[in-house]
Amino acid sequence: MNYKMTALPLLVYRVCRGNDPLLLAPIDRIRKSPGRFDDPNLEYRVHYSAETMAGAYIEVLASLRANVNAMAAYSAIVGDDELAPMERAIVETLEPRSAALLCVPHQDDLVDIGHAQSRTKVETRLGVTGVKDGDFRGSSYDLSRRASRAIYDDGERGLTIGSSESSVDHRFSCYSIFEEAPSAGTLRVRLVPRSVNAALNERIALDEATYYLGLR
Amino acid sequence: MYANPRPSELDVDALDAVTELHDAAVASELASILGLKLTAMIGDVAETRSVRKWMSGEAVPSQRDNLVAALQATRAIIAGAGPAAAQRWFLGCNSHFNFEAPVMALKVNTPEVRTQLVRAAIAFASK
Repeated sequence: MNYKMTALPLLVYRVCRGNDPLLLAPIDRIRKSPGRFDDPNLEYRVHYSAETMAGAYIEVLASLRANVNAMAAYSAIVGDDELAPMERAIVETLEPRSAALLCVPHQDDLVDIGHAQSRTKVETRLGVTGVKDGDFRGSSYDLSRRASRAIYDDGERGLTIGSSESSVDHRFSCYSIFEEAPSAGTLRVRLVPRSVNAALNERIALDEATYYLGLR
Repeated sequence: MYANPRPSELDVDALDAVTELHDAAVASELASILGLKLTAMIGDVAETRSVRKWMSGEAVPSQRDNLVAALQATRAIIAGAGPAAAQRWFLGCNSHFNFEAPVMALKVNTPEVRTQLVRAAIAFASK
């Protein structure tokens, strides 16, 4: 049995530091803080993008969403200083970032890693059993990274999965596209930037994301 | 392409320098960025008076390792965003900690969770 494949849409979205949406993170940075589908052997790198612009914002801003228990514990501390407004936190986060729309000029397929068929293949490749869809969305990245490596070694272009930040009523996919070869700097899927704007200027998608996350 | 200046690179190796700082310097820098209350939470005390004592050298924090890791995380976030973002990040739902807040995750007080904290901060800053 092979992986379940799914076609990349014609457009994907990315909110990133700087103004080059194709730039891959340096290996030294990945070594200190590997992403969910980064190579466990630190050879190839991964380009992350989302199905919608709002989804790309959600991926970046999700960790600012207030945790109720933490806020309660904060309020219980005896003292008189206050938190900065959330609006300022959003501006600080997005000011050095761009929001990019990337065109996918050729029909390219990615592995749908959450699909049962793909999970069965991953189990075979890694010699494990009982892999669940949620294992690729949890806080442990170990299995996800090993699966990424197996899929990379099988010559696939990348993989896709629903965002760990999305809920049932607001589901969007995230795309992880592999670097062509170690240190190549190019990807196994050709992406062409169609527009690159200051992240604070894409107001509609930003409003949708901050509303979804409850940041306003 | 629009002319957004390239943000400063995140120097992850510079974060290790935090381990060389004295307790008072660690507490002072954290408090100046995150505020006294959040620093108190990280240091696992219930009032900001204790933080002021750490800052003046009048008392020693019992959770120094947590404070050091928190300062490393804070410096990483400052490089990629800013102080208000750092405050909110410590109190936010974080997928690296099963959607628990980083400041609450620190209560486990293990080297593993401290490493995870710094990794999660770098991940946020470099997204």
